[in-house]
Amino acid sequence: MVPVIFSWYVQDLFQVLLSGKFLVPDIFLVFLIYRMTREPKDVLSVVWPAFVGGFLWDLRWTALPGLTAAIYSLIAGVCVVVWNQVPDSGRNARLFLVLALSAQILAGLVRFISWGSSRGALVEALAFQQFSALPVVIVAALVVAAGVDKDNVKR
Amino acid sequence: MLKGVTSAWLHGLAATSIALLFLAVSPGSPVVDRAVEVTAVVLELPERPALWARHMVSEGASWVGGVRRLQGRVRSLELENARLRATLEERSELRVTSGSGLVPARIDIRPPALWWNEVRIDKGSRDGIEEGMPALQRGFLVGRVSRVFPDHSWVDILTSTHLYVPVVIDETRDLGVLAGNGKGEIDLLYIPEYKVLRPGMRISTALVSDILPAGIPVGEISEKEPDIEGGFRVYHVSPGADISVMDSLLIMTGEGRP
Repeated sequence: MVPVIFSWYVQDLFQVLLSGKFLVPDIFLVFLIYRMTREPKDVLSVVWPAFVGGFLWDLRWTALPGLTAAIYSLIAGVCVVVWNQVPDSGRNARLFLVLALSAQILAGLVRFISWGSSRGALVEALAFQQFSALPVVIVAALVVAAGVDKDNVKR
Repeated sequence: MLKGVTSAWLHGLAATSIALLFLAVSPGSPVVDRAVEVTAVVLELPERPALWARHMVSEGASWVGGVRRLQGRVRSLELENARLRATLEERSELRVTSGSGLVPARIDIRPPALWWNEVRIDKGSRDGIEEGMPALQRGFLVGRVSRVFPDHSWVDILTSTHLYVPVVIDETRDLGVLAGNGKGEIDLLYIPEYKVLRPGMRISTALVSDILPAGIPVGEISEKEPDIEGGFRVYHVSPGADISVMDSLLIMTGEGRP
């Protein structure tokens, strides 16, 4: 649980650093998806932390309690379902990359819609968020790939 | 597998539904407002390192920008000082006496039909205003008093089609005439085609002017490409004053004006 809290905290710190200028990448969500690849059957440790983390994020940043929580919960749930539905041979870093990037784009779009600012600033903020998420997602995918190589990813 | 997937669906949908329920009932709720406040208070301490980092970056950027601005300002003031000294050397009648000064005036009328031509100010002959006195904003020339009444006066502004102001380019000492087009733009006329001026070159009122004192900053050459008309380059000028949002002016009074 500590790594999950830490990932939320890191995302929060970045948001403090960049608040009012850019949207931060959803590091917390990417970490939860990564965690899901390690324990794909442990639904409770993915979906409900996503809900709590999203809710806390709403209380801290969006002032719309439930918005981020709904998005994070839904994305976490869908990721678990997709990961478990895919045959063992397909559960690899590429699938993780697709899931994490899709999650990032979807969460970003919702934040984009709910973030109050001018249209130009919004597009800039969204673009920054998506591009800044890339290294996070890629590093996580590399870790997943390393896990697959060592046969550590739970099938 | 099926069990896990079903469980994921159920938990995911349950969490999402609860979140949406919160979203539906929370707006305007005092409990939520309180929760938001408490969250901010609780996180204040853990977020402090990021706040410090943000503050340091912001202060650093501001310091660097401030130094650059100050360097530019010092250079500008040095140039202006040299120019004014030169002016005073050549024309002692321009020396500003202790009785001279600037009279602040509020713009009380700006007729929409003549928006770029003239403004009315709330100071008149009773306040020492006379025809021909220069009007300034933020230290830059805005226009010239054209008509004076006891309690108010009219000022022709630089964008007016009626006001022609002889000016000099500070860096090259080229002379030209400023004229407005009545649509918010100001052109610099009579610069020979072979003379090439750079954007950013500063413009001040010229010694040859018989209507305004020399050396009053006006603005600078705009980035816009000059037009060529009849062997002359017509440069576009960015005024130093913000003519579109003026609400008050300073009228330069006192002796020594031409």
